[in-house]
Amino acid sequence: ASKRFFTDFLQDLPTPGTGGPTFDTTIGTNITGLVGKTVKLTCRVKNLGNRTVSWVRHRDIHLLTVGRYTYTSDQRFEAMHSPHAEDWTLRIRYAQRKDSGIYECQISTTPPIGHSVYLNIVEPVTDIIGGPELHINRGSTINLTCIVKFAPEPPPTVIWSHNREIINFDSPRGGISLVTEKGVLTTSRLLVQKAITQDSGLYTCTPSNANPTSVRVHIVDGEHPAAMHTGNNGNSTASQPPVLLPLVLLTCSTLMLLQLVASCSTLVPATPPGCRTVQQASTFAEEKAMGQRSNRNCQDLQELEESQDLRRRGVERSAVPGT
Amino acid sequence: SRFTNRRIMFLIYMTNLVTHVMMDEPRFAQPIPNVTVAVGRDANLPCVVEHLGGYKVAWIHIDRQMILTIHRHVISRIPRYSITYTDNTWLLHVNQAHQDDRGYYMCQVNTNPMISQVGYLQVVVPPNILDIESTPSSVAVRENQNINMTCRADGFPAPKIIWRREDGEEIAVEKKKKVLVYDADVLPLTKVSRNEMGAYLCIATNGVPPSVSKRIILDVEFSPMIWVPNQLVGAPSGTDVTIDCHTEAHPKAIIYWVYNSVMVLPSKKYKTDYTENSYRAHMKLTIRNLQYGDFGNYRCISKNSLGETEGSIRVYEIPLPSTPSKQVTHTTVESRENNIIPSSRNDTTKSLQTDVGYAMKNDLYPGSASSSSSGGSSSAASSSSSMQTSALPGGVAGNSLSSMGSKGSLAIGKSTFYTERPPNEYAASSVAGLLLHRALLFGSGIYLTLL
Repeated sequence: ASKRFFTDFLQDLPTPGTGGPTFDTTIGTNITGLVGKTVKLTCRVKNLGNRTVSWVRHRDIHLLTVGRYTYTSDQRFEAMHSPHAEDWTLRIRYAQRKDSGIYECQISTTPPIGHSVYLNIVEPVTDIIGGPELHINRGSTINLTCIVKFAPEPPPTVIWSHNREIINFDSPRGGISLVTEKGVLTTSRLLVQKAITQDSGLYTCTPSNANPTSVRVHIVDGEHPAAMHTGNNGNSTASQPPVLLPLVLLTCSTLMLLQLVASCSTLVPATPPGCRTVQQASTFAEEKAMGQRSNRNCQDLQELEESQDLRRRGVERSAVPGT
Repeated sequence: SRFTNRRIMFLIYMTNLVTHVMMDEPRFAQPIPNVTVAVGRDANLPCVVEHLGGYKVAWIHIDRQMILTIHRHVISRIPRYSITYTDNTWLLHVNQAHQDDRGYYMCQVNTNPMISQVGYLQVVVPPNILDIESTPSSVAVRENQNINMTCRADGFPAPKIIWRREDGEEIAVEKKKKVLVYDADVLPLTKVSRNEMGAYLCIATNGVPPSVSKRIILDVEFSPMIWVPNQLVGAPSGTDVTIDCHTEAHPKAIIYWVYNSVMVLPSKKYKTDYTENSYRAHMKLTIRNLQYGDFGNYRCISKNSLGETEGSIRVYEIPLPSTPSKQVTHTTVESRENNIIPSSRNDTTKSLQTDVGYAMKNDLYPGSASSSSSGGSSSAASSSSSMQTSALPGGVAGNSLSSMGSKGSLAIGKSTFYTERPPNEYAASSVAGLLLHRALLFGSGIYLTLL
């Protein structure tokens, strides 16, 4: 009760009888995201009035968004808000580990009231025990165990493939079984009975919400160690072809660079100040998407200006009856 | 697909590189200075950014975690903040600074990665003495008691407090060490004496003008004390006489005179004067046209809420000078006793010896009077009275002369009828002899003049 009185006393209320802005605390304050995925931090505000909602990153006190205007130049951040809705969302695309930390949704009251959200960006780790190379005696059982760690939730499915072909448990081969245990630590075990030469090759474990990992299995006879050397030589041979590709790419990039230089020299003198310069840069970097986003940023800024004007008019209107 | 990603990243990198080279990145030309402002005044924080281009400048108050401005828009709803932009300088105005405005301010440019710099705004507050937590403006203490006078002040930075006396006298603190200025919140005074009564100033300073001071009046209370400079005052009848007493008292005492158990009031007969200086008073009583009924014991009394004391002064009569009519009488006596000149010499010798004895008797009488007066006054007065008596041999002589004069008259009357007397009569005859001696000399002078 005292807090409410304190709030009412300090704020200039746009509508008599209406309380000040408040946060909907039912929304979670701990968000976990995956590396490389899109994360949304939502702040639900009631009775906002004509105030502004901003997102600030606590790590370096970096201002991210103000209202619907995205201030930061880091294109991965974007403000999302629908008119007449109470949700003010900060969207982070291609989340990175470094994005972990405290983000505060702040309302421009005096003093400012904030709602902090802790964002944790995790990167699931997939590992096969015994990898990356396994040597199995002919006739023995191939036992592969795949472990998924640091996943925000257990993966719905874990798919095994052999030489890029999904293992089919109905194949004529027979003798193949799979046991998967889901939890904080998800374990998936692949068993292949009575290994034969054709069973050798690349086995890949692919969780549905994590990166895949592989292990190479060699079926060996106890009496023929020379086969190992053959495999190594094969690896070294396989690495030969990619050497040429970087050279080709470098040449192509240089040619395209020359074209860009010619284009920029023509356009730069005529570039007006403000948003258009950013727009120009965006056009060079990406064709349509970034251009549109830049336009939206400009429009949002103009809307901010309009809201400021509206605020002033509101002040004038409130002043007239008093006079 | 991996190669495709690599190509895209390379293109983006090269594009960004070209963009950065062709359009300079924003940079801060100057650091934000640390600004100091007094509460209620205005302050400006400049942020100088070169090559801003299309980027935006934002101001943030870090201590409040409050977004203040973005570009030219004031986001904060505190109307005391405003922003102006001229010649690469983004100037943040803080009008009528509050103490809450104190802290670090960040100027931020939305490059990727973001660049920022920080400056500190120091809001200082002039000192202000807290009356509620300080000693009241007037305080009373009994003499020889201890007292701590306290003075508290707020302000930023925290003020330093010093004590000094308004009249410039030294202050006795810490086992009676004397200092002109005492540096502390609490001024400890031990076994306060009446000399320490007066006005004390507590002065608070913290480098931010104006300094403030508080005046505390210290009252030292004690019972009245009286000193009587002259406890025996002699004067002839018909003249005016003034007696006085010195008294000290605080709180202020009522002082008055009493004679024969009656309070003396100003009238045609009596005039009273009072001279006051701080806790001291000088009281005078002037008795006009002394008569027989005015001689006796006068008491000066001083009384206040803590006690009372009195002093005693005895007023006695001394004879007037001789008149022409008496001279004629002396001539008559001389003519009658010229015939017995040879015997007058012997009489003179005897009378001198007797005179010495009489003087001794007379000396005892004033002593008894002194003891009587001391009974009614304080020990100090008594001591003073005793010294007074021993220090006034002239007074004793005066008394002797007065007594001799009186009885001499009677002796003359008796000598006309009797020639031989017992020892008492010897005393009388000795007095007559002395007078005859003087008359003889006087007569000889006249005789020679006639010749």
